[in-house]
Amino acid sequence: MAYRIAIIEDDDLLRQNYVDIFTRQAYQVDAYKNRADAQEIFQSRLPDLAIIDIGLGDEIDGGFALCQWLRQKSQLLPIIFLTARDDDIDIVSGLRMGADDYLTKDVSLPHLVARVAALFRRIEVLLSNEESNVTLVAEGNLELDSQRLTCHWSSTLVDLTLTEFWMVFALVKRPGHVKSRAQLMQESQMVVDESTITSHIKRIRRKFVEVDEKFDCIETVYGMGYRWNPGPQRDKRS
Amino acid sequence: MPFMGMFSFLFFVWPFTQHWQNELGQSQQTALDIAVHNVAAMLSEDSRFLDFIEDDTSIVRYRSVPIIEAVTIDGRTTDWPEHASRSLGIDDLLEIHFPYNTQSLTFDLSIGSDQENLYLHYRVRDDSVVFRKLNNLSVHRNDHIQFSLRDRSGLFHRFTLAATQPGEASILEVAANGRALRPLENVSARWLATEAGYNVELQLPRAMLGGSFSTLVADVDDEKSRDIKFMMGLSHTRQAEDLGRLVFSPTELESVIAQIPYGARVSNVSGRFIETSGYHITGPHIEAASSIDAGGRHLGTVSLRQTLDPSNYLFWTIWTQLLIALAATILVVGLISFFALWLVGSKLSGVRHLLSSLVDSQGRVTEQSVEGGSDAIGKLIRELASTMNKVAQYNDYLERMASRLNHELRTPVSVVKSSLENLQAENLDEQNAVYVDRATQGVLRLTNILNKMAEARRLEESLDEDEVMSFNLVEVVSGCVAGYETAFGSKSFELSIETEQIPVTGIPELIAQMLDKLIDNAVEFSTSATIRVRLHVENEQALLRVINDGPGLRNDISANLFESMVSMRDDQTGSHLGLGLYIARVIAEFHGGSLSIANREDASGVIVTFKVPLLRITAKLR
Repeated sequence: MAYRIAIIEDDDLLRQNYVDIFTRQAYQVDAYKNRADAQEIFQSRLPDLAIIDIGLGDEIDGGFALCQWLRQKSQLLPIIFLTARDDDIDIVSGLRMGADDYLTKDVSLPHLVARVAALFRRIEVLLSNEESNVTLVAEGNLELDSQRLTCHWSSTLVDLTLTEFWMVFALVKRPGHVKSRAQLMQESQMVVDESTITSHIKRIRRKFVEVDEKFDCIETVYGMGYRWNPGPQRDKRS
Repeated sequence: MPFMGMFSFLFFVWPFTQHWQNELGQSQQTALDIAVHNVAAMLSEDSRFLDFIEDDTSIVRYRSVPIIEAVTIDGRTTDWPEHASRSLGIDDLLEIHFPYNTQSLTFDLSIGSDQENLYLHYRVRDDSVVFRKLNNLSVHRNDHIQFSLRDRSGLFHRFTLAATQPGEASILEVAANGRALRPLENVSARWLATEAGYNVELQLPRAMLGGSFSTLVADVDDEKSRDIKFMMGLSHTRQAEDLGRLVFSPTELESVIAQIPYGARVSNVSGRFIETSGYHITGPHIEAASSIDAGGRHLGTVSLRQTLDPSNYLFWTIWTQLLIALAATILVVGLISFFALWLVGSKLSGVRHLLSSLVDSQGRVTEQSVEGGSDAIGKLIRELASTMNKVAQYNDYLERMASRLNHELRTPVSVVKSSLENLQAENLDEQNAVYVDRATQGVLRLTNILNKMAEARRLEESLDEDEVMSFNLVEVVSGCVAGYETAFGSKSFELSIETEQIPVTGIPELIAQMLDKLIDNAVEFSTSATIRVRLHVENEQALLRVINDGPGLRNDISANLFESMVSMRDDQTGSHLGLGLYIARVIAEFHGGSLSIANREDASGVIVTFKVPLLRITAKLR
């Protein structure tokens, strides 16, 4: 059965392009121009995944409202925010909208398709309860499940988005090795501008610190990139 | 300034002073004339005073002046008022038994009185003084003084004062036939020998006196014959009909005269001084006199004198007062000017404060709300603030416009991009694929521009004081340079750092971002394979230099290179917005530092210098 993707985007041309590409990928696509139209349909039937633009016509933050509304309906429904501005990402993160990922509209369509596929795979893993295929990376207090795409620190769940998860995954794969920004983008299938990596790293650190105040494993190597520092934690900056 | 004012004042005013002095002398004389006229008018209306000074031939007047400070009965004249004295001489001889010359006998008679007593003083000039012999029954065969009076019941009494030696003198009542009856009690009298003769002073209770009185001095010169040579007095003492009148000066006259603020003298028609007060003035003075008239008769004269010392007194009085007034005026004017200047100064410092707050450290115009006074400067401040608010609003509009433009462009770019990608997903023939590829490249370039614009804006938003920490600049710079070795394979980086620890405060990621921009710039314009990076400390400041070989800067552009949208590149692709060095500058200024760019001395390349204070404690706007 084909997955049903809902795309809520107020720009007609862009919306139609998204519809075309996902249709070509054999998904079933429903497209909505505004929040009211989408909610009317979602009342009777939820999609399998929602891609939401934040600004919807007259509603500047219509996407946020729709995300919260959908999250009340379903905890598991994968939601991706598509934003025109990357500072919206900060707002999404700050408001804890419960989105599974956020991408800027610069994203290339193949990347967007790949990201959607990854989310569906996570759902499948969660539903199948298959333990055998679990790819588990354990590094000190950290546990990463690349099947379920979950991250635990000292057995406590760290609520990372998909993008954040892959960045952590890329760092942890080779502890102590510096990953340049370009490498991080490549390995985490990042599609945002290079300069926004700094703010992604900041958010990831913040999420770990919420779980453990003393967390200090992600080190900035100025001019080069970032690395995962296992074991005795040291802060070279101070 | 005040002294200049004073000197110029003196210079201009000096010629006038002589004129003023004359004027003042004139007005002083006029004032004195008026005063003397008033005094005369006042006296001529006082009947007791008129009675006191009148000199008619029908009756002898014995004028008694008020004794205000008690006199001592010692024979001396020093405690008597000067004007009490009346001189008697040849015209006043009552009996002559011998040829008279002025050496024989003259005397000054003073009569004074207080509430209780009548005082008499005789200053007798006698060429030969003869005392009464002890045991001599007669009191008249020697120098003596006689006085007669009617008591209050009208009875006639006759007395003789004689002395056997200087000192206490006795007064004897004398019978009509000249025989001594008995010594008078309740009186005191003193005989004082003087060079010229003798003085006698005596005190009688006013209770024994009626209104009639007479006194005389009798002169005996020959010790052997002891005959009376002369009797001198205003009237005889022998019988009641001979007596004169005892008149008492009005008691207020003296105080009236004393209160006149000038020297004053009152004399009667015969030239006798009735009353004087401070009339002896040495040195220059002005004088005025007025006649005392009553009933068409001239009875006396009032004279007033006042000091006039134009060379000293008046002159210096005027000048002292003028200078004091001038100094006071200058002081007051100075204080007012000082206050006004202070007021203007403080208001101007308000303007300066306003001006300095108009633009923040990042060059943005700030909103102003200013309260100024109602004066011109207050208006200026408000006008300035309101103008700057308009500029700030316009600035704000431009900023929002850039941000909004950036945002609005992203969606249509995305439309183009996604459409191209949809196209590429189809199987295109080679010819079409070329165009799709070119379109894709164009869109990528456009996206690049949008991202760069967004970076500058995002940077300004990320200048967050909360993120500021202290860190070692050496680590950031050396880390970054190590990264550039791999990032720019074609270039080599020569790093020289003098110390291992250079502590600064700020946001290390931003410093790295700034260095990225400087290195990007250096690499782009470098003509050799080596970029040099130097870091050292000088004057409490960290100095970071990025040096590249290559063409120098044009003079006209170097100062503007750190401005937004200024670039030296001859770039046809258009993807360089000239934002790199602008971003670097914003970061440098956020750290309280500065960026400068200059050609190397030998013009073989360019040096960019970043200066930042060591361990900056506080933050952004300072």
